[in-house]
Amino acid sequence: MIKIEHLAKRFGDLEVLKDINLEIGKGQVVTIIGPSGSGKSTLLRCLNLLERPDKGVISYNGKNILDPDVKIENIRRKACMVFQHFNLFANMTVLRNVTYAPMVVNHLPKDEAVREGMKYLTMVGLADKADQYPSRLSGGQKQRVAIARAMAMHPDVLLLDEPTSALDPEMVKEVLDVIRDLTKSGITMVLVTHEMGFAKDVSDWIHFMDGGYLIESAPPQEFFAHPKTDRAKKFLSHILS
Amino acid sequence: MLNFSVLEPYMPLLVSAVWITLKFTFLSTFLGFLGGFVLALISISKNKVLVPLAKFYISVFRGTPLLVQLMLIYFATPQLTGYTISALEAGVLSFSLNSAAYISEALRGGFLSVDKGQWEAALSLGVPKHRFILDVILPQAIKNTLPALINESIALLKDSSLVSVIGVADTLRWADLIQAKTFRAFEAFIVAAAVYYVLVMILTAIGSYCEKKVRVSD
Repeated sequence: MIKIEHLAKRFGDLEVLKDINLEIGKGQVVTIIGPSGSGKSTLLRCLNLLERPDKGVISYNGKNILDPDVKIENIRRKACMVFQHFNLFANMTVLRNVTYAPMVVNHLPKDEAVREGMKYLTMVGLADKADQYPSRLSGGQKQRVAIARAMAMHPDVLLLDEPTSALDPEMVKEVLDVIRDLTKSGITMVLVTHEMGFAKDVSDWIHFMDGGYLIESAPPQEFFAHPKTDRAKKFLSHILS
Repeated sequence: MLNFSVLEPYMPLLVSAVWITLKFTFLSTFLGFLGGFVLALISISKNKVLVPLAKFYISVFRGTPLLVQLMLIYFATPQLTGYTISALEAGVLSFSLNSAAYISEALRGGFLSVDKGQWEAALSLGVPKHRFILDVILPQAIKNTLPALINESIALLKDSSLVSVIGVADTLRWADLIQAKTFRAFEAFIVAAAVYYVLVMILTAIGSYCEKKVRVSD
């Protein structure tokens, strides 16, 4: 469904992505791991054009989204992002956070958007917080709302950028549980995370990045049991020890 | 020796004078806010032509006295354009242009204080920029700058007394007229001062109320 070819991105003198090639099938859960600064987040952010790559091709169902005639909004509404720091709209209630984009972007009538929104809030277990403002929620609750907000757009692919990295340890599980449930729904998912156990559990495919390159790609059992490259071995021994 | 009863016949006039003061304040605050909003948007954009223009505009209107701006607009407009500008128009125009400069600086700070993540979240859901700036960014920017905006409208209310110089029958002009007619300077001007004070207090109260309102999301 998504095909990335020869993708490159630099920030000034810093080459963050160097010749990335990657394919993601429909309904796959793909996890990108690697040391910090390896370019994982940048790669993820290229997928909905929050960053614009300098070179290469990203095609969604055969269409290169980097073509100048592609409307960026139309890509983003189909590739929604969940951020490390949640980024809930601070001036809106939880429910409005979830209904806002469907109403404004997909032109859903209000009653339908509210019904849908409540459905997703129920899914993440926060229907009772619908009228609260984000500032009243815990980090874990905020992230679950952010997931509901992204899902309410019915995206083709859900992008999760270190969704549990900013959370207190006791809140990580509630968010991972929600994501785990989502993986069973058949949605395509690209996940950047440091939660190795979780990645091993839910992923169909692991991509290991280092220094702006995609070093190794393998199914999780294979990758974690028998990493092929030295860098992957070193990374895993650091992380799992 | 003080005799406020001499003012009594002039009370109906005072009502209309206060009304004019209020009209100036509201019109200039409103138009100043619109202008300031546009200027603030330009200031945070990366447009290479408009940004320096906006900066220049702001520096001119903050760097020269309001009274000079008022006089220039009132007396020079007919000379330059042939259009006889009314005192009311000249007042509203100069106050709006002036407050736009101040409000834009406050709003610019407000925009910059909104977390970048708010922009990214809205972008990543496919919300068009012009929509989420109004729905997400502006409300938070206003919330962060509300005290400054209230200060600006209070300043405008007091500065509106400058229009008496070009003959607008506002509150100060009323006092001036009364002291000329009754030779009672203290009574006339103290009433004018009291009127401004009460109006400022009312504005302050409205401001606190608004601040409380926008804090519901805290």
